[in-house]
Amino acid sequence: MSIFSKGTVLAQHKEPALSNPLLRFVNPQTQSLLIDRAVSGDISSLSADDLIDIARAAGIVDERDGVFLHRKLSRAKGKAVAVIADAIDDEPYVSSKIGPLLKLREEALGGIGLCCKIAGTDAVYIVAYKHITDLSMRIPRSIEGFKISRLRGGYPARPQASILGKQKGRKLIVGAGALIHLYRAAATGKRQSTVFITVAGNCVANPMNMEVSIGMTVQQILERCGLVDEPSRVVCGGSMTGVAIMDTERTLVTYTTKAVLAIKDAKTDRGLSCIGCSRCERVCPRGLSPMYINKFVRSGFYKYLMDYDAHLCLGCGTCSYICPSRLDISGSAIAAKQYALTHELARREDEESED
Amino acid sequence: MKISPRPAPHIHYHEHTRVIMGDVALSMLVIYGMCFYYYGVRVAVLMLTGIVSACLADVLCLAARGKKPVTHDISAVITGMMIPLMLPASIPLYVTAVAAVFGIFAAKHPFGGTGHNIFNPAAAGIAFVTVCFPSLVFSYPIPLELLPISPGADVVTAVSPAFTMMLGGIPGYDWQEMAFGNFPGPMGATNILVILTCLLYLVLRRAVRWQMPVVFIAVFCALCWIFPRGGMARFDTVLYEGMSGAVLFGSVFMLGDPVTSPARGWSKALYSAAAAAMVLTFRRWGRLEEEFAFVLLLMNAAVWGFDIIGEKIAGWIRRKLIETGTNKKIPKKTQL
Repeated sequence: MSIFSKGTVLAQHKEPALSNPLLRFVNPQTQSLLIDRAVSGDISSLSADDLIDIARAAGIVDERDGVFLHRKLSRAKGKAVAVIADAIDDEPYVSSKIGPLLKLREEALGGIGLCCKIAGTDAVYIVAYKHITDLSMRIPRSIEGFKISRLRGGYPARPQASILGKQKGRKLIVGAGALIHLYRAAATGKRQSTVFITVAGNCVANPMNMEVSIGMTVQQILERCGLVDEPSRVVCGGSMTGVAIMDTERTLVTYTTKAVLAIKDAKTDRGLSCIGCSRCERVCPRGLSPMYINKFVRSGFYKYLMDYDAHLCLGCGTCSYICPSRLDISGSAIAAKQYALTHELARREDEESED
Repeated sequence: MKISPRPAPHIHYHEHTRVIMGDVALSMLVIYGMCFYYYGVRVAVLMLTGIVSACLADVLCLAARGKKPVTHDISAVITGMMIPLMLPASIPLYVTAVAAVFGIFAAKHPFGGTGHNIFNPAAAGIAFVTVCFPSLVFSYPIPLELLPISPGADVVTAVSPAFTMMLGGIPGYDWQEMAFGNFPGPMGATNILVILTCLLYLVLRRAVRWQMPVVFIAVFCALCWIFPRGGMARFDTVLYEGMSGAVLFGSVFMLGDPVTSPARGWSKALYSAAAAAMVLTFRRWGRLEEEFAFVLLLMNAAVWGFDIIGEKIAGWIRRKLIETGTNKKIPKKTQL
């Protein structure tokens, strides 16, 4: 965070999870599920339509945004100008995309090749986050001839993925995990039954990246990695946007879970009020006024929110992160966004019906 | 396992409200060091009087409102530290206490306490004692003559440059001496070089955003240059107007107070420019030699207007950037 610029660069805390070996912790019953399709040994003979069928049959979900991969692929078929492999782990503690990409290179590169075949393009960008400084390993400049682009900038770096490259037009952005699952489905005919997650936090004995079966409980995962301390909160999802869960026994790993964090920290809410330091406004990647949005939501003046463009909020949580009074600004902003979207939608529908 | 749900994010930046306020208090302590050099032990007694009375008033008000004091909230300490710096070193202790108590009682808690006050409590306290005890507030002792703890009527007072200029004269002080603070005036506000160093520290620590004091000082100097006082050279006007009185101290410590200033950089800059013009107007045609506190209270009342202007400018820029697609952080819909 410099004096003149917007946005903020977070300390990443990706070690030692990223350097530790990738652990497979899978349920053998779901692991052996196959798709209803004869698998030919030769991947290069598969056509684009075949590959989309395989993705559909294997039920692959892109962990990046929770969209079925076959939908993305069929929209991009023959039209995308570039394939972007998303390994941008910009949230602290989380390395569940760059880790598998580096450790399962062959499968990830195979998946990229299949995506290129579907999109009908040779332009490939493998994207990783630039500002990871505390690593004990090096992220290579290229893997097997494919250059790894490093995305600069402050914390919410993922929205910038689509502006990479010189090509103008639609780009196919696929997460690293989905690429690996696509390759496995095409090569061995296996359904997607696992997902890559990071287990970290200051209470975890062995922080690591894991490949776990979908449907495992958070308790099982934490027991596998071991706890050195009693956590005060367990988070499903990234450290900036994840959800703090109440019951580890009944919370399951889903397609879009990227991390399980067990954190012990001191009480942060001391009942302070906003002192108007305007740091939230300075770090907001969309240039909103989170301070005023928070004030209006807390005091119930929802009608003024439209002037403050609350519907543009990304929900990235940077405002709450920086707040020196530890206010839940992000929660207010997300509530304001939902209000603004529903309100705006209703207004537009009214206008359309009048026309 | 005893876990509790809390809203995201689950990590926080290490800077706490107390750190920001502590930076301001620390830089004021440095100025107190200079005052100690010029006026002696009495300065420390004044500081303690201000802090103790402000904190007591704060605790009383919180108790009356049915709230518990928060140890991490040291804004009352800052108010208590700021008030003696705007007053002469020979001020009776009770005047300091009255200013601090009035600031907390009348300007802070009726509006809802820390973070909700519209008017700067320190400015309100100074304005109150300026109106109530003008002869005490405007009689400045000579620097480097150490004062006793309870000075009698035998304290040698001198005419401050601001007063000379108000009467239409030219102050006879060397500007280099003035830069080191060796001239009569409000005890903290005379140490020009120390205040500028504190400004640099506060801006680098981001306790004060650079738009406020920098724009204020720039506009103030420019206006002095364009409209020099009758009988004074342009450069002399800039120097004496800028260094006499509480203009510089006020612009760094009171104008930069985040609670009573607009939120956006744009509105902060506009607000500071307007405040600079207002301060100069008051100094030219005002009846008192030091009116910064009154100007600040007037400007504080207009903060909401500047906020609206700044938000409109920012919103217009934001929509233009989205329309033209030049903002790299807000990509157009090109991804699948």
